Amino acid sequence: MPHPPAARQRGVTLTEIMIAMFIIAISFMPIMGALGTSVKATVKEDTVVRAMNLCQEKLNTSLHFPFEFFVPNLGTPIDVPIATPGVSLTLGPETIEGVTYTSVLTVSDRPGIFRVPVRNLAVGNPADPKTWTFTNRNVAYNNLVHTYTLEVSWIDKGGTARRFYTLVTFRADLRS
Amino acid sequence: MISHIYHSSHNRRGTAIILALVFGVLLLQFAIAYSGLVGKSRPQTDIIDERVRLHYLSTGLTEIALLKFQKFPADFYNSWRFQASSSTNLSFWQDTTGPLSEFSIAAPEFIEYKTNGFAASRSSFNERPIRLWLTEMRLMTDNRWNVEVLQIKAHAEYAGRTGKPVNIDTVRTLRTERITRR
Repeated sequence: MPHPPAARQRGVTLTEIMIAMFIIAISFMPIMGALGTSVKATVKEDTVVRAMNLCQEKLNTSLHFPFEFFVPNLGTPIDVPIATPGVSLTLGPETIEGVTYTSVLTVSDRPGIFRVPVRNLAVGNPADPKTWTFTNRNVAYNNLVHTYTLEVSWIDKGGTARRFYTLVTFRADLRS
Repeated sequence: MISHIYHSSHNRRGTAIILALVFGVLLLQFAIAYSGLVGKSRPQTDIIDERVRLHYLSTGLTEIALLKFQKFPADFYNSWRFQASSSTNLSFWQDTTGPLSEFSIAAPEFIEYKTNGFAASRSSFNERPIRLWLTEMRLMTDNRWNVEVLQIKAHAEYAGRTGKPVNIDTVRTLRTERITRR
């Protein structure tokens, strides 16, 4: 004896819906996986971005100190707060949102040699530059250019390895 | 009549599964496209890091060039006048030979890191050395207004994570005043 059509229709629909939901759920899994990976990467990079901002901010501040200020500290890493009447800079450890960042500034002399083409005054017509001749002269300099190295290091939450971020720039004594 | 209803419901059987399969395929395509996009996009740290790192180094190099100009202005002006009068190149400040280039773009102190790069600016996630050199040191003179400006340009670049070069040009422009001693 055949089943009534209405009853058969209801039973099949429930099975269909369950299978359909299963298929859709399976389809969502890779999307959730991709989103999860993306979110994890963003959270992990948050500490790096903060370290970069700290490093940049502190290097900018250190460049506001008078050029001669760091002469006594040349080459010695500074990891304690420093200040002049005009500028102050926080170095050493500081905790931001549960992560401790340690900032260290190193100012070192960068000696070098300038190559200077010097005009031979005894040769050529002073009024006609085409006739001029030049001789290269090497001029050594010391304590006129400093290398500023600012390093920020930290350990991620739940991590063990120390990570670091360093920015370097040169600063010349342009007082004259 | 009953037979007609039965046939109709029989024809609709499996529609939900087909719809779910179509929807599922679309979602899978979306997931694949999204994964591809995430894979290709660079982390924000990379984007911030490379700009900042290159900027500080190239600005530092312009600082050294400015110091050289401060220390040896007469030699720069002499080199400039010689190059301006003897070069056939309209952009003579880009000549790679002659006293002006010896003073600026070809001077050893400004091309020290051009080949092997500067390695001290690094981090735990970026060890790539930065190539750095001076590209221009020129006067921009306007006789009408009696204004003279010195422009110093430095270039910094390195191979990004994908191997493509990432570069930055830093330009420093300042007004100068030429005093001639007679």
